Amino acid sequence: MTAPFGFSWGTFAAILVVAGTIALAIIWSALSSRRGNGEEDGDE
Amino acid sequence: MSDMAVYSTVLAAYLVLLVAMGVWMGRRTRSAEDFYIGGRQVGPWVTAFSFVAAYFSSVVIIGGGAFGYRFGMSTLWVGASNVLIGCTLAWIVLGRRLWQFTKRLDTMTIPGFIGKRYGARDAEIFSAVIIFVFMIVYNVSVLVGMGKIMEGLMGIPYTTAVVVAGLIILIYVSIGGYLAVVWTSFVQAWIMIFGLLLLAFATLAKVGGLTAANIQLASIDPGLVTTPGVWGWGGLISFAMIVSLGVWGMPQLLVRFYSMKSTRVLRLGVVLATLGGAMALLPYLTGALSRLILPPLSGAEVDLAIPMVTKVVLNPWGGAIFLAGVMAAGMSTFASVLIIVSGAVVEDLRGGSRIQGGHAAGGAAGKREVALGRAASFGAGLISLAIAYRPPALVLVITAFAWAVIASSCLWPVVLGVYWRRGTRAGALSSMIAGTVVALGWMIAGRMMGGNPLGIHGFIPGVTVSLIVFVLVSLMTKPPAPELVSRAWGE
Repeated sequence: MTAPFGFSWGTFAAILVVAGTIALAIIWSALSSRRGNGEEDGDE
Repeated sequence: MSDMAVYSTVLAAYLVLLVAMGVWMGRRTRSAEDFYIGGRQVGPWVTAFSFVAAYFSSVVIIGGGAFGYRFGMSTLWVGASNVLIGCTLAWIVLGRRLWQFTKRLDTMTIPGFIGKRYGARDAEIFSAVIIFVFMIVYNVSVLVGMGKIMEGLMGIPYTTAVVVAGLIILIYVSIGGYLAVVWTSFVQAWIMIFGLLLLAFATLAKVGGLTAANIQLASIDPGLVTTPGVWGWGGLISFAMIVSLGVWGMPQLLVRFYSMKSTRVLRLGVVLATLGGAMALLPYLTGALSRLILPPLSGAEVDLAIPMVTKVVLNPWGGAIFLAGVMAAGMSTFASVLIIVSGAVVEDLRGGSRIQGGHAAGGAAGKREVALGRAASFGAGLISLAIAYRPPALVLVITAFAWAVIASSCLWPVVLGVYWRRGTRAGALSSMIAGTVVALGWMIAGRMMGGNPLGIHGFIPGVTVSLIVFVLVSLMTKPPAPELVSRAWGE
């Protein structure tokens, strides 16, 4: 059975990795905001 | 309006905009810190998109398309590793710490960071020499790529294309410094993204969509749609690593982290860089699809896959926009590298980082440092330009080594420099020398044997040996002085 759009699953996984990376960046950003709470290095 | 007139109009408007931005930013450049890192005042949007623009050069677009053509859809994994390792993880792992460490150590360059972090002037000079030599060679490859695509799409002579593109960059970088580099790169990133999307969608429309394309590719060779497919694991993994993990040792990208105005920039920046970096998939995808449109290509013709498919699927205006995108990719990378080479000469080899008054000094001292930086960036650019004008065959061979050598030598002294207190001067220096020698030796052997040993790119053995040597030599030598460590860690 092929993956969506006619990809092989091994190749389609590359697209899933990109989607997962975008999610990772958003989650890290949100956690970083909560943790930093405005007290970051360099802020005046 | 003829095709040539359309291409010329779009390009002329674009080049005028770049020079205007250089002149504008030049008025805000008063100190060495302004010239090399924009006075540490760059925000998230400009940091993120200038990172992306410097990362993906015209070589990546044209070369990535060629890889896509040859090896098919498995090359999407290279794009995915660019996004995950080269963009997102680099920002998360290195962003905050590099900002903090370079600020505490009062340094504006990677060789300067290595020198002060390990108390190692010899390692600073070694990395500055490696950066000077191989970054200039790297820039030659970027210029050659730009010249070839202008020749292919516009029909203007290669030498004219190289001189026009090179001189425009020299002017705006030497006048505007780092701020000109990041602001022009910011604009260039959007042009690149738009151009790549335009070409990818036009190519997809031409082949009848993704599903139809995958079915047709599989009928040519099932290895064109599977992973690792016709490429094999050795080639795919080692190439993906050099163009993604290699970023962690590339000074023109790492500088984005310590030119941020605060570590708060990382929060939005990491998301923007990830989204922008996702465009890395497009050259590979378009290259793979182009096999269904173009007549069979072989040998060096494969490098023409992207220019050729552009002419087939886009009208002259679309082609001009894509050409501007490729030019943008090349120019932003070339400009970013020029600033790094200038810093290596003025700050590291000359010892400017130890000059009285500090980097942020304005006035006469600041003006003198800025003038030196401008002269060095102009000189470094002229050297690249002169070589690219009629590149000797040997230089073209060395360009293929440049990225791997720089990354193999700088990666671990930088990464472990911000995470491992036990790293020593001897460990850093020997790791840099070992990484350089092994990566170079492996690639030269590959060149002589007609293919990389075991099908593995020289970056992999280079960076592996560099890590082992760094750890072993550090553990075998006296721990670094406590004051050196406490200053770097801010204790």
